[in-house]
Order: sequence, then structure tokens, then C-alpha cells
Amino acid sequence: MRFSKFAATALAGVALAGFMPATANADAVSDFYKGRNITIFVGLSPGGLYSTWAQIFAKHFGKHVPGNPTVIVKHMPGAGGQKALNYVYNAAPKDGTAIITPNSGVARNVILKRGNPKYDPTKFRWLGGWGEPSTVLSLLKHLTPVRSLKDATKQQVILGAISKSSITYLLPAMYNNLLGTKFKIIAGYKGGSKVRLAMEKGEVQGWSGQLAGWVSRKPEWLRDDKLVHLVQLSSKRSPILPNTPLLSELAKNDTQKEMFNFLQSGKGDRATALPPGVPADRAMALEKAYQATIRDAAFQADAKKRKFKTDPLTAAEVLGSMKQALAMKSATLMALKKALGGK
Amino acid sequence: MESDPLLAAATAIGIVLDPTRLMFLSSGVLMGLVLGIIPGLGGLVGLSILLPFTFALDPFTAIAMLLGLSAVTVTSDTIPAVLFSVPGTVGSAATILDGYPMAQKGEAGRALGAAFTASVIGGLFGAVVLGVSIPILRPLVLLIGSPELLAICIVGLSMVAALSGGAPLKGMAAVCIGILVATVGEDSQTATLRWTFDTNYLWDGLPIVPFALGMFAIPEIADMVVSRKGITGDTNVGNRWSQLQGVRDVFKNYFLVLRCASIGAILGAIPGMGAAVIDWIAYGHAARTEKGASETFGTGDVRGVIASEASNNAKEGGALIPTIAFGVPGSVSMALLLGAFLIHDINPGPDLLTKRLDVTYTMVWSVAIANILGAGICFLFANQLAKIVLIRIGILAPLIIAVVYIGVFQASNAWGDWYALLGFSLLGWVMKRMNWPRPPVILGFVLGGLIENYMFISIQRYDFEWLSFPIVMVLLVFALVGILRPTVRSYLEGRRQPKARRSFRFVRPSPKERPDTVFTGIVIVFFSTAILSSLFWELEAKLMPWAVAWAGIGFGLMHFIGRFISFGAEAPKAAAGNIETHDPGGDTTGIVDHIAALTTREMLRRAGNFLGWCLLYLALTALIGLLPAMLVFLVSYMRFQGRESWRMTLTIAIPTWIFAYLLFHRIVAVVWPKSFFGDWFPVIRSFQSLNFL
Repeated sequence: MRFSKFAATALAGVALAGFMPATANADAVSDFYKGRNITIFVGLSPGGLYSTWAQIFAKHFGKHVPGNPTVIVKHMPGAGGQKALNYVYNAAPKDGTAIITPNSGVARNVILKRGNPKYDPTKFRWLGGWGEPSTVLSLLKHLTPVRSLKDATKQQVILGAISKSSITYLLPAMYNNLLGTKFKIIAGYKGGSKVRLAMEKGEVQGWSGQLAGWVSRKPEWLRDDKLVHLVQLSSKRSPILPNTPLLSELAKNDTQKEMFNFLQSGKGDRATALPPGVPADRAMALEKAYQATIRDAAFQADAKKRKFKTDPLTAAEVLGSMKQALAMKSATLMALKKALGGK
Repeated sequence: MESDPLLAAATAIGIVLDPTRLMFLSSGVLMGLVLGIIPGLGGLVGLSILLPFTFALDPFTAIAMLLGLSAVTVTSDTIPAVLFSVPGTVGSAATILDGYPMAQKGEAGRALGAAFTASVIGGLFGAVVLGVSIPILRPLVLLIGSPELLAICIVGLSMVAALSGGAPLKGMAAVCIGILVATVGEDSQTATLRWTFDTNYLWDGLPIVPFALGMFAIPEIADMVVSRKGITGDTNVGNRWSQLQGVRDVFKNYFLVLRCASIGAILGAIPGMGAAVIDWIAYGHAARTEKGASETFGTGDVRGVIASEASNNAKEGGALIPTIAFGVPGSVSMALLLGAFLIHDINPGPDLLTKRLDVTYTMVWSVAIANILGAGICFLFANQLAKIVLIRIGILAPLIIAVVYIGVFQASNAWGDWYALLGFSLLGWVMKRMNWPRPPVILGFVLGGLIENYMFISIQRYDFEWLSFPIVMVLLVFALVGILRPTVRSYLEGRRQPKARRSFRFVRPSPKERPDTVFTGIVIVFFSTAILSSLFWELEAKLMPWAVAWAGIGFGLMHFIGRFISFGAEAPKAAAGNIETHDPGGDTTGIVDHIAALTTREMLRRAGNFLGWCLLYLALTALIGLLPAMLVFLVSYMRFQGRESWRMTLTIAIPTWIFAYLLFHRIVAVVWPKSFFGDWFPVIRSFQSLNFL
């Protein structure tokens, strides 16, 4: 008896839901998100830069979305972030309750056929970006006399790296191939903090990692000028490193220039996206909310505490960088693959 | 603000004992205890849930709460380990070896009492180590580079003899299986995808949770189901006295507690040595050094429980050392904690050891108080908990399976978690039935990946020069002694025995040994397949897999051939004269092997039936989603397999389900596997409260 009553209620609920009209106006968006959760997927383990950023973002995002949904962060580490990308693109709900803040390499993995990407970077519904990472090759000064890439062509320098497939290995390997440097790259360290510790021990002399890592984890090394940065990869020189050349400035020909520009463009590396197929009104509302959140003073204050620099990018800018990356000339692509070690 | 350590320590205890902070600390502890009990959930999940809530707290309160949580998951994880052979977190896998046999003997209360006491002492010890070593932290950690880490792992691996239960050849082969499984995934040296079978699931290697639960938890439950007997028939469990006996055991073995706590604290301080490794090394150390351990360890010796538990709580204090001193997290939980520090503007590194000693000592006190609170709470409930072992198997088995299924899915939120769980369950069960030691497999698994990694780094960086590093040399000698001592000792003992006429004889394996012989053959084929399937990999990618596979074939063959050779006196009673003495059943220890009484056919029928239930659960999950499937599974198993009354079935199944729903769906916010039902009626998913299909 009691059971049939429950069943009737449940059925009525399901039926009601089926009849809910999908009218396209702001109220509909607000009605939709009221009482719902938005899940932000992060493709790396908790504790790192991307995860912390997502958590700070989650704290402020909900109040900018119509209907004020609860925003939670879900970690889905695996395959260098591709597991989460594949999941959100293909399997996550396409009703605007799942979003992803992918880590770097969204387009690079597709172009270089790294791993098993099952997504099209240009078909994600990008909401915008919060900045551009800057990758730097840095050495601890007291471990080596090398002060420039040119010095590094004359003398061996020992670098740490995560794995042979990681960009921390591929980039210095490419410098060896194209610029004649003599980096001895030791792969196998499980994460940036392990490489930095190995530097502190003198086991390695430097590595190619993100500038943000130095800023947040070793600010005293930056402050006390203990590091030398040989090259930086970003659209423009970072204000912290005005004297370190951009990779593109070292290009010897046009192909190299195109390659280096591709490698140092990071506009898609700190972005946020919806899977394809989310209703347009909700996607638009989320884009607005995203842009409002990263400009929100309270958000910025929290981000600053964590030493994140926000530099807002529009959805169009992010999408444009994806398109540009995928439009690379095939000759350049071949050369790039070769320079990165032919994988 | 202060730089005088004593003053800072005094200030810090004032900070922690502030009533509000103490309250937050306690709530962290409570949450940690609950998460520790549930397999698959641990400090990591708890910290990621709590972290956002601590943004609003002041830094000291936030740290107290987070550390409170992460310090006690390894206290309560003992409970399922002892009671059901289910490791609550990977840190308690070694506790099972003696804890569960104790429960089977009706000594669950004693085991828990000993475990909690050892935990709190270990935890306090870890906090003390952290507290006193603050001034000398940095140089200590800097002593340990990749070669030293490699040597520590090799010492760990040399424990295999102590974990092999008197069957060294099978133990060695088993350790090779573990290492080989650990090499699955993308290799960091060549980027070769080793045995990933084109799946993303195996790309980063096999997660340890399905592996550990499969090897230890499910086989025990399967055996209970097959024998239709509960964990113990002894109704005298759970009197207060047995718990106190456990406490006494700890104090009687205080020196062992201190040794294992030191192992935990020191290894915990080394980034790269996680909880999964430490309890094994402590257990192996105890098994090797304690008097009479070779006879009693693994059969319910309380010292085994003490060793493992003292070490894994001490680890927490140790693990803070690199986090504080260098900003290098010793574990993923520590990485999260580090994130929390940064949010609260606490920068790990030299500052924390000089200017911000108040913060550092707040951590020390938090860990200490959390350990006392955690063990205290566990003690209060230990009596009641110990009685769980009396629950009928028809209720217990589905409950454990249901929880393990959800827990294991937390490893990577993929179907692969369940395939891995069932695959390793099958392997674990067969190994158990064939009397193959399972601990070496886990040992190989947790150390295999590390050894390969540190070996490549060491050789690339230093060629072979690292072998002459002083710390490395000491450690390697230590490992060598560990490996050689049992052999030398048994050789000397052999010489002391009166000379019998030695002779070789070819024999047919006795009927009892036949299945073991067949299984050994299968293991050899497995290793050979591994070699054949990796023929074309780059040298660096296959170096480690080949080394262990060839070694595995060697050990397997020796054992295999040993089954056909008889040594010693020609008298027919010398059945025990095989190369390996073989412990049959072990009823001398007080644990009755009910399965031995069954015919093979009946045993296989019942086991098959149980496997059928496990697969049914999986099929239901695919059809209607994990949470609904859990309810259907619980109810139908208890009612139709366990033959419980409807009333009993529903009183247990429904509250269990509601708890799972609230915890996993509402709090942990699991991304559930997609079911066909949900695909057919996607509208259901758009309701937050029903979005588990």
C-alpha cells in the first residue's frame, strides 16, 4: 500500500518533468539552475594549481549564475587530463550542469596525436580564460655557470622532467634538436615539487616548468635571485622576467617561428568550457557568469592570496587560439613532430 | 612571530586548545574516522570536501580541522581490516595479516584494543618526532636523493621472505607478479604504453584500491560464503576485558611499538614513501626481528597488528616534515593540505621553521590531539564493533560487497575499477585456496613502480657511482642481510640435523598438491606471455618487466619442478620432504578451515554462485545505475541467498542504502556510472536528487 503510494508520487514526478516546457528566456535559465549543482571537472589530482584555482572559482561562480546553483569541484585525474576531457566531451550531461577547466595541452594533444583524445578542441563551448601560463626553463645559479641558452650549447646542464611524453621533457629535447643545447634530461620525477626538491638537493640543476610554480612555491628563490631563466614561452614577455627571451625570438627560420609561436601560445591552457550541445541560452548565461566571476573583486582577492594572476580572456579569444592551432601547416607540423622526438 | 621553539610550542598549544578550534578539530576527527572505515574513501576525499569550507576559517582553525581529519583515517581503517579483512585505507593492508585471523579466533576485541593503542602511541610518537626535529628538518630531508630512495625500496622488497609464510619460492614468484602488475601504464622513460590495452583506465597504471580490495577483501568474503560460516563462532567477543588485553599487549611490546613508530615517522618524512608502503615495511621488520615470529605471524599474532598500526599513524607526523620544510607534499593528502596552507597565506619553506613556528607547532599539537581523540572514540565503540563479527554471513556478505563496490569506484570513477576488482579477487581467491602468499604481491605492487622509477633516475644521473654513496651502501647491506639470513640460518640448521641418507626421487605430486602444481604452471605461462607480448618495446620500457618476468619464471619453475622431486629419507611418510615445506591448512592456529571439508565440486559450485551474485550486481549497475542496483542487490541477496526474513532484510538494507545515498551522492558527489535506464530517460538525471542513474 505504502509502496504503491510512493510509486505513484514518483511516476507523477517523472511525468511532470517530461512536460516541463523549455522556453528560452532568462527565467527559464534561472529556473533550471535553482536547486541544481554545477560540477566543475578537473583532470588532475587535488592540491595542484588547476585544482586550487577551480576551488576558488567554484566558491564565487554560483552567485553570478542565474538561479544561484551550488558549484562543486570534481577531480577526475588520468592520462594527463585527457580522461576528464574525454568524459566531459562525450559522457557528461549536456544540460549545462557539467563544465571543465582543462589543464594545458587541449589542442596540442590532438595535433600531435598524443594519447587518446576523443574530442574536438574547437567544438567545446568555451566560456573564456583566466590567463595565459608562461613556461620557463630555469636553473639554480649556484649549481651551474650556464646563464643563457647559448651557454647551454657549450656545457652540459642536467634537467629534471616528469616523463618522456610530458612537455617538461619534450621542450628541452626540442631545444637540443633545434638550438644545439646540451641538456641532459632525467625523466621520472612525479610532479613539479619533486623536481624542485631534486634541484634543492643538487640532483638536477633545473627544469622546464611553469613560472606560476616558482611564484607560488618558491617565492624566496625568485626574490633572492637564485634562479636564472634561459627562455620563456608565452605570447609576450612576463613582467617578472623582462630580460628572458621568448622562444619565438630565437627562431632561425619561418618554420621554426611558426612552431615556436604555436608552442608558446597558451591562451587555451587556462580556460573553461562546456561540452558541445548545451542549450544556447544556458551556455550564454554561463559565459556571462564566467566573465563576471573572474572580474569579481572578491574572487580576485582570493586568487591573489593564492598568488594567481588573473588576466581575463574572452570566449572568442580562446576559441580562436584553438582554431589557429588546428590550422597549422602540415609541413610545420611534420617539422614540429620531428623536433619533439618523432612521437 | 617567535623564533624560540619552546615558547612557540607553548603559544601553539594555547591556540589549539581554544574551544572553537578544538570543536573544529573534533569534527574533523569524527569525519576522518567515518571516512577511514569506508574502503575507498580516505583522507584525500575528506580533505577535498572540507577544503572549500576552510577558506572562511582562520588559518589555525583550518589547519587543526584538516589535520584532525587526515591524522585519524589510519586509526579507524583498522576496524574493517580486523573485522572483515577489508582494508579501510591502503595503510591498513598489513594489519589484515594478523588482525583478521585474530577476529576469526574470537579475538577481535583484543586486536582492536591493541591496534588503537598502538595507533595513538605511534601517532604521538610521530608528532614528537616532528616537534623535536623542526630545527634540523631541512638538512635531514636533503640527505635523501633518488639513489637513497631506491635503496630504501630495495630494503622494503627484501622483506618478502618474512611475508611469504614459509614458502619462499612462491613468495618470490608472487612478488614478481606484483611488480609486473605495477609496470602497467605509460612508462616514464620511453612513453611506451605498457599493457594498457588501448584504455585510458590503465594509462596511469592500475590504481591500488581495486588491487588491494581484490587481493584481500573479496577472497575472505568468498570463503565465508562458500563455507557458509561467519567470521567466528566464538560468542565471547567484545567483552571489555579482551580490549584491555590488547592494550596490555602493546605495553608489553613497547620496544616493538617504538621501532615501528620510528620506521613510520622516518619513512613518512620521505616524499615518495606513502602509507601503502610503510605498514608493510614495519610489518616485515617485526616479522623478521620478533622472537618466534616465523611460526606465529600471519596466524593471528597481536604483534603483527601492533607493528602495522604503530607505523601508519606515526607516518602522519613524518609526512608533514617535507611539506613544512620544502613545500614538497609527501602524499596526495599532503598536497591538498599544502594547497590549504597557501590559501591561508602560509608559505612552506624556511619561514615556517623560523618566523612562523607558531603555525608549525599548531600542526604538531593538532596531530597529537587528533590521535588521542580518534583512538579514544574508537575505544568507546570497539566493544560494539567487535560484535559485528557475529553477524550472519547472509547479511554480512552483501553488505560488505555493496560497500566495496561503491568504495572501489572512487579509485577512478570508471568501470575499469570493477573489472580490476573482480579480476584480482579471482586471482586473490585462487592464490588463497592454493596456499600462495598474497602479501608479497601487494609488496611488489607498491614497490615495483618506485624501484623502476628511482633506478632509472639514479643510473641516468650518476651511472653506477650511486652504489658507493654511504647511505645507499648501508641500506643495501641491510637488504642483503635480510635476504640471506633466513637461507643461511636454514642451511646451518640443516647441517646440525643428524645426517640422513640424502637421495633424489621423482614423484607424482600428491592429490593435495595437484591444483597448486597446475596453478604454478599457469603463473609460468603468465610470465611468459608478458615477455612475448613486450618483445618489440624499447629496451628501457621492457627492462624491468623482463627482469621480473624472467625471475618469476625461474622461481615458478623451481617450485613446479620441486613438486615432482622428493628429497630426503625414502620412507613413505616423508611427504613433507618436498623442496618447500607446505603448511596444510594450519588448524593448529585455532582457525578452522571449513572449506577443506567440502568436496572440490561443492566448493566450486558455491564459489561460482557467489561470483554470479557479484556479476549480477554489476549487470544491474549497468542497467539501472549503481545506487539503485545496490538496493536491489542488498535486498535480493539477503532475502533469497541469505534467507533472511523480509523484515530483517528491509531493516538492514534500507538504512544502509540511505546512508550510502547521503554520503556518496549528497556529500562526496560521486560521478556515477551511466546506466541504460538513465540513457533511456535522461530527464531523471536533470534532478539533482535523482542524478545517480
